[in-house]
Amino acid sequence: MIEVLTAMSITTIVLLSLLSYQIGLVKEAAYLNMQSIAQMQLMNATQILIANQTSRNRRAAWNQWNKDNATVLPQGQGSDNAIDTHLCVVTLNWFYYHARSESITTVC
Amino acid sequence: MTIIELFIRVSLSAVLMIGVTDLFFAMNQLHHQANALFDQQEKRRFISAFLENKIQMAGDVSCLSKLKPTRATIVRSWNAKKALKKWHVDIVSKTDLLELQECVRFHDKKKFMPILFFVANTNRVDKNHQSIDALFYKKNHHPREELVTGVHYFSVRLYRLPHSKQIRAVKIHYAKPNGVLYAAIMRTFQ
Repeated sequence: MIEVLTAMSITTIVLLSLLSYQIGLVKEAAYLNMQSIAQMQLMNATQILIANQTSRNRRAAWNQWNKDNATVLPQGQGSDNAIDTHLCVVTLNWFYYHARSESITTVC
Repeated sequence: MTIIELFIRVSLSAVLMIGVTDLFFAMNQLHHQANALFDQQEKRRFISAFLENKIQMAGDVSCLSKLKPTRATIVRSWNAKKALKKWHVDIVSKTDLLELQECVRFHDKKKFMPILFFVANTNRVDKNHQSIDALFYKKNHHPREELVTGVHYFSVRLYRLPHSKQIRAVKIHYAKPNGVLYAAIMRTFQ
C-alpha cells in the first residue's frame, strides 16, 4: 500500500512539474507574441515619422498610433523623445504580468 | 491482501488515471495554444514585411522609358462591390482591395502594372467544413496567387498630403485586433 502511494506521489509530482513547465512555455510564447507586436508598432511609428513631416500631421498620426497601441497591446502606450536634432527614441510600454518596454532609435 | 485494500488500490488507481488523462489533455491544449501564437506571429511578420515593401515601392516607374511618363494613380482602395465591378474579383464582404501601380518582375522582365492585394475565399474547407479565406496577390488580370492562408480581414485606409490628392501613406488592418501596418510611400517615385 505504501509503495503504491509513493509511486503515485512521484508520478503526480513529475506530471505537475511538466504541466508547470508547459504553462511557463505558453506564457513565454504569449510574451514573445506581444514583443513582436510591439516591434511592428515601432516600425509603424518610424513610417509615421517618414510620412508626416509637418508637426500638425505628425500629432494627429501619433494620436492614432497610440490608440492602436492601446488596442493591440494590454495598456499599450507609446512616447517619443528627441535625443538630437534629427534623432528620436520611440518607446512603447505595455503590461504583461509586469511593465514591459520596447524602443527604437530613428531619424525624425 | 484484503478486499478493503484491493478496493482502496483500485480507487486510488482510478483517481490517478483520471488525473493523468486530465493533465495530458491540458498539456495538449497548451501545446496547441503555443503553436497558434507562433503561427499568428509568423503570418503577421510575413504580411507586414511583404506589404510594406510593395507599398513603399508604389509609383516606382524605373522600368518605364522616360519618354513615356505615367499618369496612373499609384495607390487605390476598392470596397467589395467596386472591386467586383472594376477587377472582377470576388473579395470577402466588408474587406477592401488594395491596388498599387509599380514596376514588378513579370516573365523575367520588369513591367509597370497594377498589383492587387485582397482577401477572398480559397474554395477549400477545413476539418469543420468551414470555408477557408486567404490573402491573395494578383498582378493585373493574371491569375491570383495565395499569399497567406487564414486571413479573414483586410481594411485599407489611405492618407493624403495636405491640400493635395497625393497619397503619402497607407494603413492596413489585416487581423483583428493586432494586425496593423502603416507604410509610407516613397516620395521620390511621385
